Formats: sequence, C-alpha cells, structure tokens
Amino acid sequence: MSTDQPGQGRRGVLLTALAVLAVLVGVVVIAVGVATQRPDPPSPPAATSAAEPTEATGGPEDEQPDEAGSDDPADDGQSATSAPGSSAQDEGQDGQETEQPAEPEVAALDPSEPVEVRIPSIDVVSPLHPLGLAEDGTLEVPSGDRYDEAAWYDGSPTPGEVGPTVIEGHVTGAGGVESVFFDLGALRAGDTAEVEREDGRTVTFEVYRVDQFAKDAFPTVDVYGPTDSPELRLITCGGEFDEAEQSHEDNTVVYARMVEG
Amino acid sequence: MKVTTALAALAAPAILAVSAAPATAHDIENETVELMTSLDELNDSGGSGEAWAKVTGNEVWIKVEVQGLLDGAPHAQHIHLGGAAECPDPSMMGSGYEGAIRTTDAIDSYGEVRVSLTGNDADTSEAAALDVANFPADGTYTYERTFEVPQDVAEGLHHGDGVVVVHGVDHDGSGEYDGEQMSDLDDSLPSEATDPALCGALQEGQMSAPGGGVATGGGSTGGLENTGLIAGGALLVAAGAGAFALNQRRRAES
Ligand SMILES: [Cu+2]
Repeated sequence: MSTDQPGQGRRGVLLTALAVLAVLVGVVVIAVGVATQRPDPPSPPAATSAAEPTEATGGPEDEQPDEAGSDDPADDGQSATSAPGSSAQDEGQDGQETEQPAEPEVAALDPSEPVEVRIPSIDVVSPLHPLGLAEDGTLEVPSGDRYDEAAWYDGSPTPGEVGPTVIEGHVTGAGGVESVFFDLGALRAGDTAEVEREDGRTVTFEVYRVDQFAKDAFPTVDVYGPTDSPELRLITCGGEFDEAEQSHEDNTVVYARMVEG
Repeated sequence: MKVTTALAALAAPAILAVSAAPATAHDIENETVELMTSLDELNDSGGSGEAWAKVTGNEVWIKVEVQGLLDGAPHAQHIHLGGAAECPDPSMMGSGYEGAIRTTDAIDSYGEVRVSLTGNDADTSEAAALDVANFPADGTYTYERTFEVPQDVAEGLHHGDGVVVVHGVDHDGSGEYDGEQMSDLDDSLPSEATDPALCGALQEGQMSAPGGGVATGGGSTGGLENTGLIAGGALLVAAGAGAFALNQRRRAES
C-alpha cells in the first residue's frame, strides 16, 4: 500500500474531493426524491364489493320512471356535467324499447363507439381512443401523446351494448405524476360514470363495486366475463415503470351498470 | 381451411361423417370461441373460482382458478356435457350425506363427464375421470392446460353446452375424504371424494378477454415512484463515504 509514487498526495486530495462531492450529490438526490414523493392514489375500502348490481343505491328503479316518461330534457347525470349539445338527449329518448316499466333494466343500445368518459365525483373528463390486444394477448395501454387519456378496449362491447364495456387509464406517469385514473380507487357504489358515444348519445353507468386486485389474482371472469345487461369496467393500467418498482402491483377495477342511456 | 378440414378428415375417418354436415364441423374449424364462467359452490363446499377457456376447432385452452376447497385432497375436475348445460340448484336435495348432492344426482343438469382436466400430460378423456393422482390436490390452485378433444366434445363446447365441475367435499369437516357412504362413481372411494364442490356453466364471452391483469394491470399505484431516485442517492452517499475513508487511510499509510 505504500508505493512511493510522485503525485500521490495530489491524487489523494482529488479523490477526497470527489468522494465528498459524491456524498453531497447523493444527499441532494435523496432530498429531492423525498421532497417530490407523491401520495398514494386512493384505495377502495377492504370490502366494497358486497352490493349486488340490482341493489346499488339509486339503482335502475329510481331511473326507470324518468326513462319511461316522455322526453325528459335533462336528468341529474347530464346537467351535472358540461354535456356538449342537447342532441344526445333527444336521441337518447327515442329508443325502441323505452316503454317497459316492469323491466328493471334499461334497454340496450345499438353499437356506437365511445368518444368521451366523464366521472364527475373524481373530476375526470377524458377523450377516448380505441386500443386492442398486444401480441401477447394483454391489453394495450395508452402511450405517447395519449398517455394521459383513457382508452376503450375495442374488443369489448360499445357502451350501452349488452356486456362489459372496458375502459382503461393510467394511474401515474413517468416520475409518478398523476394520470387520468389516479383517483379511480376513490369511487364508491352509487357514483356515476358517463360515456358519450359517437352517435351523440350519452350512457350513464352507476358504480356497484370497486375492487383492488393483485396482478396475479386478477379476476378475469368477473371483469371481462359476459353480463346480462350493459355494464362498464373502469380499469387502471400500468405505465412504463421500472421492474424495481415493487409497490405497483395492484389493479383497481370499478364495476358499473347502465342506468340511463 | 379446406386443407385443414381434409387433413383432419384423413387423420380421423370418424370425423368425415361430421364434416359432411355443412354448418357445425365446418364452422368451428376456423373459429375461436371464448368461454367463461364463475364457479359457484355446491354442497356448501366453501369454495369459489372461475374458469376461462378458448376453443379453436378441437383445441381447448382452459384456465381454472379455485379457492377455498379442502386442502391436501385431490379435486377431480371435468367438463361435463350432454345435460341441460347448467348447474343444479345448490339447495336441491340429493342422495348424499344429509341430503348432499352427489355427482349422479345432478347429471340431468350438467351431463356426463366428457373432459378430465388432469395435469402432468395425463389423459383428458372421460376415461381419466377419477385419475386422482393427476388432479390438483390443493384447496386453492390455478390450473392451465391446452389439449385436444374429440369432435363432438368440441362442438358441444362451441355451442356453449359445457359445464365445469370440480369435485371433492369434506361434508363432515374431518379434514379428509371419509364417511360411510361410498362414491356413486367408484365404490372404492368415499362419496366425499367425488361429490361436486363447484360448478359453472361455460358461457360464450362478449369479447376476447385480455390476458390476466398483468399488462392491463400494471397497476401503477404511485406511492414509491421515487424509490429509484432515493436509492441512487443513498448509493452515491455510500460510495462517496467509502472512497473518502479508503483514500484517507491510503494517505495515512503513505
Ligand atoms: Cu365432474
């Protein structure tokens, strides 16, 4: 260890300086990391899934009178948001099977792709774009310019058709910035989500279940399985996160059922 | 399409007759039908689960997820066909332990065993219906396998007539299959070993379901997104401090 090289002293000083610099930079990096740490997105309470679709608060029973009645210009769901144009309303009421007071479900609609999703209780308004399945059979996720927009799985029924319409969005983006579905876990049974379709109609869905699943326990059949009436699934999807991010293991899934369209 | 039909016909002459009937055999060859069901408990088994299958021609891929059945005991699992394509009413009075439903009690509902969902590359035909060595033996498990089925089974599945049944119920809570009554399927086994525990009628899906929650899921639940930054900083501090110490020692020694 005691090789008597010339310049040993100067190099020592340099190394010491570098070491001190490394420590200082490290401390700053930690400070920045801690300071900009973001809060966790909200989670549903442990057991929110009890409510049966038909028993969700303010369910179809409440809406039915409106629906069966004559052209009601605006219902709560609509007026609560800035629905573009009233044409949606007009068309929304001339469906062929609106006169069925005994039927507890609303009538299904013909296909029309969704263009916008609105979730008033968590202040979400997002345009929708269609996404499909990747080569490996998994759902593609929003990326690029549309990273922070929600997307509709184009293999799923369009909103208002019988079956579960699947809409996904990111929780966070690079660096943990909140993305469109950051607050999805804060939804509760009875909250509503509205999906506007290409044909101008707006379908209102009412939440009846909010769950969080570990990725390896994803209930495929519950989420994507067939349903008897038009339903909606709002799902958080992953971003491009480091493998090292051990904490990002849960999916939030919101189950909702069509109450108005 | 023509070619595959011809090949299939060559390989198995029995299929020829079926191929002659225009609609059925013709259609399923190229078509993938996606089937799903939740598995609901029978005989108060305490279990739950789901099954998800894709059938293309005669090829079946199926995934069965089960929770809450008797642990450490084999659970025979099958696709039944030929009944009413439904599960029995769980409250139906059966011929088993204290009115329990035994497999044959509900045969009108779900039909006979046509596919045995065995593992270990074992036979999947009805002949393996009680191949206990090759069925899952945990109370909670995930089963996944791809295999071929006979033409009539494939057609039944394509038509949405299949019913998934998982067997094995510990009626008396003894922790194992026992009891006086022997099985209606094999009199060398206790009835508990073969009584139905879960049932689900496979229904045609309304979409091609995305694979698992993995990519859809990526559940970027925020939280520790700065882990990398913090860890990197800590690493720098440690490296710097180490180098500093080492350098000081070196200088002291020289
Ligand atoms: Cu069986």
